[in-house]
Amino acid sequence: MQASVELIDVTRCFGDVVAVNNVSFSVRSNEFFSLLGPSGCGKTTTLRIIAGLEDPDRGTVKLRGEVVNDVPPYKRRIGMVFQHLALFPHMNVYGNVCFGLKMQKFPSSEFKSRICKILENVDMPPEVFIKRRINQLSGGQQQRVAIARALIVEPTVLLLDEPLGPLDLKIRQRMQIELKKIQRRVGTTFIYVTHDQGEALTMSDRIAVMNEGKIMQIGNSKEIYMNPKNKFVASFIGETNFIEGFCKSNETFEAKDSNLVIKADVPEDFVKKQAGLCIRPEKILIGRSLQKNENVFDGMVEEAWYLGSSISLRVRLTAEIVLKVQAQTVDDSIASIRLGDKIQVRWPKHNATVIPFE
Amino acid sequence: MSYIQRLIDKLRQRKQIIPVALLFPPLIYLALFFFIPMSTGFLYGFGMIDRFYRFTQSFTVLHYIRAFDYTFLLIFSRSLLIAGLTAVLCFFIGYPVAYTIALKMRRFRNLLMILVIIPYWVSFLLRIYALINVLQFFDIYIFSGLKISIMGSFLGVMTGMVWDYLPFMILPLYASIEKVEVSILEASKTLGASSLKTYFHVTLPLTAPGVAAGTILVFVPSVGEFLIPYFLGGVTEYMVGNLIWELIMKAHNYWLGSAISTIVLTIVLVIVLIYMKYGGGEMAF
Repeated sequence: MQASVELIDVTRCFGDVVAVNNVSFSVRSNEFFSLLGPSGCGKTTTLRIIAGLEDPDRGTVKLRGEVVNDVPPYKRRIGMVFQHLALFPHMNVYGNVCFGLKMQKFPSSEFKSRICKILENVDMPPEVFIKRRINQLSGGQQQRVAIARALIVEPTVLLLDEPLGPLDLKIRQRMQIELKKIQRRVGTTFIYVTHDQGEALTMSDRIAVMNEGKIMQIGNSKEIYMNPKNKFVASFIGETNFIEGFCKSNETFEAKDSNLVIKADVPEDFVKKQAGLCIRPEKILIGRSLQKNENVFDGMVEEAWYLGSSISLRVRLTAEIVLKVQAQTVDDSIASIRLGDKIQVRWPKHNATVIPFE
Repeated sequence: MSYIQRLIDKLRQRKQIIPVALLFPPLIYLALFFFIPMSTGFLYGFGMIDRFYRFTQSFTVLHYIRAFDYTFLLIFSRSLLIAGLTAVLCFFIGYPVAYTIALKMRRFRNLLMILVIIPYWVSFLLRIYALINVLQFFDIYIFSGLKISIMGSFLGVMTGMVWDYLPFMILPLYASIEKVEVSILEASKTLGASSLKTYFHVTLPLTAPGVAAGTILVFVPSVGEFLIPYFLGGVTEYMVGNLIWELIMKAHNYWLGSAISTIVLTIVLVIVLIYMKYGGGEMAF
């Protein structure tokens, strides 16, 4: 399938700062693709380069397979939803949504029907909202108008720059589901910029995690979460336990400064090398006395917070290693774990990931 | 009523007194220096007071009828033309300047705005003599060959008017352009509007209040301007301000001068009101 958007070795500097550093990726048609990273990681600049609002210093940008480096934004046929929405305050909903149709010279006989259709697609009954002024809309409604305005010209790709940022948590969660629904309904490629890992994991087909201008990993939500390729991805997405050590063979990992030997799936390249081991807190099983099995270790509870459906613990295994553990309170033996208790932890070896040592 | 209750009531009353008290100085100022002179002028025009501010117990519209003669109509229409042209030229020169300072040269905008304002820190007389020198230089070394001269011509007056009133256009324009979010202009571009289309459909309508303010700030004082035509124009370029000045200061005809002032004021007010109603709020482009 032809890539809808493709970036090849794109670099952009602002003075001495390399905002985007050799970024390459391609987004398939109808894909929900997220750029995820902390603020200042270059994700917004990458998006603006795709839109043509920023020129890359080096590299190639392709839309629908054509190089668009020299094409101005207004000829790129993209849609963009801005962080602060950037709706036209001097126009009503109709004027805002109609703007793209007018500018791109769609036949004016189709205006009304297209606008009604798109407003219905974003769940804004046209008969109610079409004449409303922008300042008469709530945050969530403005959001929908901004999306409708960008989608109406049937863009190749819709670029979204943290559009849910200013909304409060409840509306944001609802809009996440809405956005995904809208995307399925209209069948357009979405590229979504966010610093919120939850948002990215919920909505995306694939995620590119960025840091300091570079792409750290690209993959679907599960890959990113379960098999982080490096320490940054492991620690940025969710909580993680990170154990430094040495890979002795392709199935044993020895923790640094202690003789804890852990069974792990070590990829060939890591054998006989320094490495790190990542284990997600919820992938660790706990119990008072577990069956003898692989990776069973004794520990002492140093901190315990009872959270209702789960319990969050810090368990000290050795002088150097303290593990964060998140356990479901399936029965009272787990719910009743207290500070200072001696317990056992266990994880199957496929639940831990070996990543390069930094 | 307890003592404390009374104290609270007193404080509450004082709270309402303070804003009213703060209004007093400007109100007195306005009454003394604006309302009284304006009504004096108004009464003069109808011949209701004499030179020594005594009521004459009479009423006449003769001065108003005499005001509408050929000379006045000629000079007044010339004033409107010059003022209108000044406003239009200031807009066409001022908008690109304000736009560039506000959006394209953000880093230097404070410095650039100071450069726009600085000429106003110099006395008008110094500035006008400086301008006269420049124009005379052009007349002597450049235009003499073409047998024309800027000084004492319509062109000279227009040069002076635009030169003097330009900052009054740039300042409100700058203030309104500066408020435009850059992302709104970018949104317009991503929706398929070229820079020119973005300007006419988004930037200009969004800054319409600034355009209206600037136009009025330039147009209204321009109509009554008399120093610039006095210095840079000849008798043939007299504006209504010069006419009123001559009538009152030289001919001591307070009655006719006042009648003309009142007519000018009324017509300018009507023009401004019409402009604000149909052109000011939302420019329909």
